[in-house]
Amino acid sequence: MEDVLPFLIGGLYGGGIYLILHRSFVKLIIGLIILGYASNLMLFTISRITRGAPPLIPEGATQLTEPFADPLPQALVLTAIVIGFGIQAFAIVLIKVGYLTGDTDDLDKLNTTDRLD
Amino acid sequence: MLTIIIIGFLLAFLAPFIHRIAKEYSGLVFALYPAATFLWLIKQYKTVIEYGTQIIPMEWVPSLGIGIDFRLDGLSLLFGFLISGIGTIVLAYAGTYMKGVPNTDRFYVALIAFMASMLGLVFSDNIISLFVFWELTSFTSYFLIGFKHEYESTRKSALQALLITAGGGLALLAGLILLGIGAGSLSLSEILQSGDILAQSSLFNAAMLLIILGCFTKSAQFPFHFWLPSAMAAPTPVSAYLHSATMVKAGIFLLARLSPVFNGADGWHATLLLFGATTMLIGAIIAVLQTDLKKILAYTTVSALGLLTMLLGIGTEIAIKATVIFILAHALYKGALFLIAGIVDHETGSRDIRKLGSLFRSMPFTATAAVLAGLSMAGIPPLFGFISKEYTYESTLEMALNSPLTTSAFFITGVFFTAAAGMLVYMVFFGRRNRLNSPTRETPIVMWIGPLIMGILSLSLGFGSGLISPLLEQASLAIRPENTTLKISLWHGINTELILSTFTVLLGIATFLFVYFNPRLMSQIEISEKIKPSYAYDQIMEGVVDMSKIVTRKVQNGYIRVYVSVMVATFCVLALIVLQNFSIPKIGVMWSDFRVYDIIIGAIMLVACFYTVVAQSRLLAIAMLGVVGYGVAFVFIIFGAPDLAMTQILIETLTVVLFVLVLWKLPKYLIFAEGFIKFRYFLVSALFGLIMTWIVMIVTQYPMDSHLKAFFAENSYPRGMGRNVVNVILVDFRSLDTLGEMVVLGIAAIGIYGLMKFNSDKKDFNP
Repeated sequence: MEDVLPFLIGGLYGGGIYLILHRSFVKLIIGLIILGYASNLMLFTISRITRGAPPLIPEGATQLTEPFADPLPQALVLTAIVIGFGIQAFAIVLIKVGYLTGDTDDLDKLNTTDRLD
Repeated sequence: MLTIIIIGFLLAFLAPFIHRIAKEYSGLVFALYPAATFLWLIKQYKTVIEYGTQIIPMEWVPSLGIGIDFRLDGLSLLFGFLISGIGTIVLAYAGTYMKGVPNTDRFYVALIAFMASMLGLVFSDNIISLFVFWELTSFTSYFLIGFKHEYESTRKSALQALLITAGGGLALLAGLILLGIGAGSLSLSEILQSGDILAQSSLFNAAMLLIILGCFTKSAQFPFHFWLPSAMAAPTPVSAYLHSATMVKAGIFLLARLSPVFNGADGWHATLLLFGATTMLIGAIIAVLQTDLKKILAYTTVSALGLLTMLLGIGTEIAIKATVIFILAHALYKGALFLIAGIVDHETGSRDIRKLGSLFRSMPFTATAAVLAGLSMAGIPPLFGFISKEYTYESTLEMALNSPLTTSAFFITGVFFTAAAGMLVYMVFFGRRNRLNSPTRETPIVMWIGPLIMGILSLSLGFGSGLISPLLEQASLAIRPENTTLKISLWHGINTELILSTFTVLLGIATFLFVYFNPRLMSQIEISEKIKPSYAYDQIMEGVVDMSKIVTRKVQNGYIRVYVSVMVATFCVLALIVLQNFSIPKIGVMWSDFRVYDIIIGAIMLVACFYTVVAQSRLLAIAMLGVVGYGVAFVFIIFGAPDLAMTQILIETLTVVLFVLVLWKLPKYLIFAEGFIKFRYFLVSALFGLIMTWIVMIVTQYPMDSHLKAFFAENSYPRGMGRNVVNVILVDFRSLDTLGEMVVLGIAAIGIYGLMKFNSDKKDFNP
């Protein structure tokens, strides 16, 4: 899996950017979500991965013994996932309202309000 | 000294409150401040005469060599007397002049703050504090010019003055810093004494040119002179104070202050002489073509500033003496004439010399003051202006080079000065009948007393010039330390200067009579807009605005894909520059660690991601997105992160549910991009993906040593009392981060609620 992960991350990044480049608001958000996956996985991977050894202290012990997965990147990624969800939820509702008010999903038609004369 | 300046700024701060209590007497109340300063300076003056230059040190940022040191010498005292003396007159005058004008309190705030800044500027002994005060004067001047901000032209004039003087201020700052580096000190006293060290510095010429540029913008030298006539949009007391007597002379002051450093340098004399003489001639010629009292005064002020620059450029002993004499003479008569112009405008409602006339009968005191000031301006003996003219002639005649040319330039200027004085005084107070229908009467004493005092001073200093000699001598010593004693006297005997002077006056009167009897001819002379420097200024300003509009339209075009493309492309280029130092990593499959399900999970995720991207229906895209999300959760499980996997699954489910709930109503999925554009998108994103893969591969090749891993492994149970280390980090070691995260979620929730509510108000939408 260590060899597969870089390609997986690259593929997700590419797919995310590709979707963001499109004009549709829905695609923009799906792209952002995929970009979020890619970033979380990247953070997780580049701080080294350890297979099958969660950072849980067994009964009777007072500290972890090698091998164990690094807990810090896990804490960071967990925070990132939750915050990412906040953004996604907000954006999804924004599409809905934007569509109902502006009657379009086309980002190019939503950029007229603060344009220069 | 510092106390005086601080009191000034405090007074400016309190001005609105004092104004509310004192009402129309507030001008007189405020005038106590400059009056007290004037008295204090007299006391200091005696010390300076007795013991020489006084330095009052005061630390500010000692580590950088910046201090609020003050320097009391002849030059700063001369300016100090002008600032406080004319300041007293102007404030007392403004009290009546501004009566009934709305927002007068703001006017006082800016004027008093200006006064304090100007005092700080002339007494500073540190070039950084000098610069700070310098900019403060530009700043307060902006508010004063723009006082009648309801008019667009006024706003434009104020902005013009600010842009030009503050733009020059930037040059000045650069110049002063270079000067400080060259001399190895920011203290003026030390710079003035650094002599050869500075002169041999490679920064010397650059510093000199930048400082000259800054001074030229401030003192309205050609080609920057046009802001000064525009600045006449300010109330007249401001014009009298800032734009003739004090602020515009700040540039002259600084040139004079730094004269000991630059005197003798090649570019110094030529630049000042050339630009000074040009400004002097242009100002004088344009002045007689004007019909507005204030415009005539403004252009003659420009001309006078040119004359001062020219004299500093000549830089000989006699020229420096002529400089200090003219500074005083000019401040006295020009300040008075400005105030008189204000009185005339205030009482008759007009400033047009073609309409005004024979006001002498109704305004005898104002007229007397005007006559005295006008005679001084025309340089007629025995007034102080005459002495000043004699000295100027003496210095141009004594020049080693270009003497005839400079003398004739001054001769022409003198002729026009006399003519302008005639226009200002004779045409308004005597001359033909008044063409205004409104009756005129004399103003209250507080208004005419100031100009009258200044006029009487012009007269009495002509006779009793011995009184003022010590001060002027000290001032000329400060500009040129090798100057010998200065004994001013009215009568020098019959010599070339006197003959030239007589001709100047006669020709000036002739010119005036020509203008007086041919008003139509004068009004027909028009200067083409295109050759004026103000035209260039307007063009540049328009160009800048147009340019920024174009740039904004290009950069901020509102298309998110353009922003993203630019960001991604920039990232790719930068990353490639860094990555070219690394070899492409080998893909060595570790067969010992090979598991088939890894490959399968990876493949499923990639395929799902592909379908998310290409899906034609929204629902399919969302379903495939779900697959990718659950795949991520699997990866977390495999690599020992059960908490992450749980969170991921929960949130993935929530996202999909939310998506479906909200989006099922939306119309068909929109496909905009076609063929080639799609291919371009594909290239950008594929490149980005490849680079990210590469980066991850390179990073994971190097060993990693994290002491944090060990720290958490050891401490989470003894200190955090938890067996799940990730949880301990979140709720214990990094609990503030988690709190922040909760706040973010809370804000998102409020935002979502707000959006829903906004929507239901409009279209009865219930989620």
